[in-house]
Amino acid sequence: MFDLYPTTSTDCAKTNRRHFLLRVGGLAGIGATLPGALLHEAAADNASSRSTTNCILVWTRGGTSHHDTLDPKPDAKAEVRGEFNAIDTALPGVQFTDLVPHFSRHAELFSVVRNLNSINGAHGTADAIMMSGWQMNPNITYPCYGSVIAKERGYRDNMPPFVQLGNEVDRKFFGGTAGYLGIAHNPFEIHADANEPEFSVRDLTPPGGMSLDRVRLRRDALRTIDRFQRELDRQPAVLDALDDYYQNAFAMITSPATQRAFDLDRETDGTRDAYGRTRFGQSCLLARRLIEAGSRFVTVSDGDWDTHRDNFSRLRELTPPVDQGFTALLLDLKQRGLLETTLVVWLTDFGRTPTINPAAGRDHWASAGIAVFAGAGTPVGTIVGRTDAIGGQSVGKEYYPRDIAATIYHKLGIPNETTYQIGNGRPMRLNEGQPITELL
Amino acid sequence: MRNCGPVLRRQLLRSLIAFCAATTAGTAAEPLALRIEPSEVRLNGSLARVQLLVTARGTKHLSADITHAATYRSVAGDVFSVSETGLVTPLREGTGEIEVQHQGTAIRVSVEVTWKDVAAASFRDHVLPTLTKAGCNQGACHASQFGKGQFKLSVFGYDSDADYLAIARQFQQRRITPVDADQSLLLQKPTLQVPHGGGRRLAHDSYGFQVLRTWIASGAAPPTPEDTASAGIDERLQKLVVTPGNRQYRPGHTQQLRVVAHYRDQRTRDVTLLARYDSLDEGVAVVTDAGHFTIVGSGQSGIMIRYRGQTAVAQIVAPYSTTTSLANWQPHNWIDEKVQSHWQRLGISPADLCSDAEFMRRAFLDCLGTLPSVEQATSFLTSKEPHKRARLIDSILGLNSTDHRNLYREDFSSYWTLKFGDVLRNNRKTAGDSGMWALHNWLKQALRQNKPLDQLARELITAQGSIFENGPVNYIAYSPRPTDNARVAPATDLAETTAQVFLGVRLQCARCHHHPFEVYSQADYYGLAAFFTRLQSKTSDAFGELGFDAVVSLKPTGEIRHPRTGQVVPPKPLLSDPTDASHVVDLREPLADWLLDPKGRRFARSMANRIWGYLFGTGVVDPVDDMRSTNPPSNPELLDALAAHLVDSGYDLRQFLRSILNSHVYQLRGTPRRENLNQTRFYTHYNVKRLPAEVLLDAINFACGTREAFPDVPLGTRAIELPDPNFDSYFLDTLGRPQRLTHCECERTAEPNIAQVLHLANGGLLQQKLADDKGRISQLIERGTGDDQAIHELYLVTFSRPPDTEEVSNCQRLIARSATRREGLENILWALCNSREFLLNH
Repeated sequence: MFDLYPTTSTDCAKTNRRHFLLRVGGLAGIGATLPGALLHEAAADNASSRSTTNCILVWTRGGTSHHDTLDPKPDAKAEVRGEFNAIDTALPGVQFTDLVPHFSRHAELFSVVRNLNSINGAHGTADAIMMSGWQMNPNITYPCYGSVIAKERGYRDNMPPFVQLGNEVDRKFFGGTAGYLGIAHNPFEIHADANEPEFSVRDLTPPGGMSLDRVRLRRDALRTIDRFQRELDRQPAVLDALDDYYQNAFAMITSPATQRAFDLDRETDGTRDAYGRTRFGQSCLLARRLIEAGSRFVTVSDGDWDTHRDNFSRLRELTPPVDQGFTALLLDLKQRGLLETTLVVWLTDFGRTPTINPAAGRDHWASAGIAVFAGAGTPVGTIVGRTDAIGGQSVGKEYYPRDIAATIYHKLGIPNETTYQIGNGRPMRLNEGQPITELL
Repeated sequence: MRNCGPVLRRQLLRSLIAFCAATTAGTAAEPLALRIEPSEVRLNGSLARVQLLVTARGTKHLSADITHAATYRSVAGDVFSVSETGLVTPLREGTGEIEVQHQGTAIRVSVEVTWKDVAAASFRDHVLPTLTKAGCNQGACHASQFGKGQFKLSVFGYDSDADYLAIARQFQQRRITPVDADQSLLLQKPTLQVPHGGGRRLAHDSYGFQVLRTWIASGAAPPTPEDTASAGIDERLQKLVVTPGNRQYRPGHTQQLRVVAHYRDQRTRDVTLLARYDSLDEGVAVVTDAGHFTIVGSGQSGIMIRYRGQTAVAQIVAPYSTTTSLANWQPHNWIDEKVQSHWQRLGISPADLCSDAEFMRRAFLDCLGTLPSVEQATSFLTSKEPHKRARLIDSILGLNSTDHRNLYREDFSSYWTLKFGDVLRNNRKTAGDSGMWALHNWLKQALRQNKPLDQLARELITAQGSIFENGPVNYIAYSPRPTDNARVAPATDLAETTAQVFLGVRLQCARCHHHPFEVYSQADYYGLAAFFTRLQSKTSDAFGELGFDAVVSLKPTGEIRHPRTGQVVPPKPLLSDPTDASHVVDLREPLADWLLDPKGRRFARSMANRIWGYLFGTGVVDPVDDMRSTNPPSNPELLDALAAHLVDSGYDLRQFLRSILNSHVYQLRGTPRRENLNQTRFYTHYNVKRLPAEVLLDAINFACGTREAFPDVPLGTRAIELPDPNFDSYFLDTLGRPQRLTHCECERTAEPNIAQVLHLANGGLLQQKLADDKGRISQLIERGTGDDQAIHELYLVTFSRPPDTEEVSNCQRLIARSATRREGLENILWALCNSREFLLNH
């Protein structure tokens, strides 16, 4: 394979890293051979589990109003202030709205970024930008955080490294996908509602109630029937990669541990109630179980936050599950000693307009918004930055999606200088932001 | 054995090096013929350097580079110094002579040193190449979006004016200090005298350091006006010549390169020390900054050389062995001869020919995206006719002995419409429903009629009219958003697309900066875009009811400007003279003429390579749509012959495929010889490839005797017949169907992932098809088919071959082990569908 950037792999950092991991030199047209590099991907390089820090990302699709949650403006006039009252929190001098009592009570568990400028006011692009840290480029899809982690860390204990719960990530511009890293690193998506009694995961439990005995019989049948090129003592990389995934798949289907990870019935009623018997709450609980079982990055997606109309009545329905579920997740992780090794982040498209519109809604607002960080050594109770009197602009320093990305990568131990080579030979930097110093 | 690999390789390398040393010593008895380049050395100014190249030509041996082994002595005058590696450095004005000596043979070279324009450390000739070579202006460092440490440079120095300002003017001019050069940050940072985030980039005594210091100390002259010609590349610099350009080696051999820049005014200059070197495959050769490489493994590769926007490649062949075993090989046509001689150059041997069943399955999948029916398979496999493969090829391609009786194969048209639809990015999201169908139907009709490919290309490039009525217009027009009317795509997009689709050239880089691995500059980019500047569109009432029709037509004026210089760029094809556009009505016509010129074979080379790549898994140039001088073809003679054949056949896709399918190279087994296991570029075996998503879904339906229900198309519409990706299918998306967002072949992927395998192995989709009460297994049971016969049929519809006796008895045991006979048959068909022999085209 001709590889374009073989000797340029020393970057600006002093150390020589193994860069340009993605050598997609092979033809990937119709009838492509599988790139040989996949051999290494599928092998899931267990040695690369250097960092043990994992991540749960909460994504509220549509743009959660910052005014009505974690950045209230009680002194602003009524058409900015809105219907919710500001209440004191566990942090002296810090107020949230009365819509998020759990956040207020447990404000010492996390930190809030109030000076986030998302630079973008459109859906779809928001998912792509906020989850990758890059501005939109129609020619390139940048990989999301989870895909980068999946690529860098690989499989652990037969658990897919990157899982997305729910379908609430706008894919119009390929937000939340692996982009140029290739579909091997896309999230394993679970769209079923974790709060349903019959919750099950697509393709993970045998179809039509088939018994595990029959699955094992089939595995034996496959071993017997699949003789192609078995006579070689070594196989071309193409076949190795496929084999590895089949072994992986069977392990997932038949391993009690994997099946258990997806089985929420193993939690006590008390725990399930603590997260809230809501789709969001149970998804947070499932996320914790998946991380415990070996997944590296879990996105919990929640939708319908685009409150152009009836902002307040809708937020009264949308917010409580997040308020309860998110804080329950932090408390649970902390109690289990997992918060030190689990970064928990809440992101959304952007903020919403300071002034309430005639439809009692708030519209898209790019220049101010919130993000929440907890765990993995994040200082607790820090309020990063502040917005002006109407929550319209940051006062002083502001941060951008690329800095959110840099912070996440920093916490997860992925060097900011990591560079990948994309299909056309161009080297791509992982990130160009700066970690948010207040959160380190 | 596996773990011993690296150790063995190191030992091998060591013994090879020892062996080479011994051979060189052994040749001492023979008269050595020394050849020295250049024959005379001319140096001007303190920064001039000349790299000598000394080659020994023994009578029985390959030419050997002894530049670093020879000894050098200055025999007259002290106007220069010469290093152990043959690098000549000027000291003062005058003349002299070097004596080069090797094993008793000596030869002399005259040296002349002049000192005109001594202060001329040129910003573009010296400073920028030094920064490029040290890695300062690569995308990851100071050429990143925001620079680094508030110091931003242009990528590989394409924008010398901006770079000069950044270096010499910004940051309160602290980056350079002409009165005390050594205080300059430009010197202190890269040598780590002050902390530098990028680490040490230059040694204190290096040539690069001397270049920067000289330039600063002599007043830091800005780029001269003629340097910053509108082209964005120095027009005076014509090409790089690297010596040796192509040579054969063995592992352990070393080679010093010599790189000379040629200017339009006939001047030449040795830039060996300023050029940047990259090995195209570090498994074959590793290269130093000074252009000295060592062969570390067998193979075919090259060293890429870059200097000031020009590129060159020193090609390397290091044969795998000294022999090629052709015991079971018989060349059948010209393709075989070209490939065979390449094997012989490389010392590699082909696999055996494949079986009839393998050939049949492969030919069906490659040309039709379809598995052979039970009847087709049985009839072919049982036929005793001597030329049955050739006959099968003709039947697959719909060819007959007389042209007018050509058969018509819908699956051929469908499958190639899918391929071309991918490349042309046919998608209702940008073309609208009607536009998408118009382009789809036009493509399919063209393939049904076997329209010559050059005509197909011309109709696309020069299309005008309604996007609803004339399919190819959708190549020119698109809707930015589904709710917008279609309009003419920006000229820049059309230039990129045309370059990628029809030339296999990725020009995108040159939109914003000089292409990093090619000679293409922004001027070339906008020169190509200029051909598409005289087009307009307006919405049409012809389909008022449906809305969104648009008509593309010509307009009398239109031009495009260079984004940096602001000057109008005249239409100019890539690497060719500008087009005289004064009497041309449609500028796209001369562009198509240039593209399709039978002598230039530009389109033919790209198309021949693309089709070859579809069939063989790797192109002669690979990736197939990345043709450039720094990505050379693995077998240039083969590519030339393929292109010539495509032109000679009248750009006839079917005839072209027929020649390839009849070659024995195509008919080699998919199982490589052990030593060729990870070899994909030399066609010693057929490269196995996973079935594309659509083909795989169709194959599963065929095997299970079921039909797919896609929304809005008739039940039973096959996946390869879908006109665009906007038909919901978890299977297709998970298995890598392209979304047709780019024109890159790389969008379609055969990468495996866990979701795919889970879906195939454990998904409801396959299980439903196995259990379908009208499906194949139900039918087998209803017909009362016995186990043996049923197993036979299940093998035929999946592996396209009958099972052997062992396989039959294995399957019988599986049925016996299953709860019911039906479950047993389902389990067998499930296992067949999850087997590599099914999932792969082999």
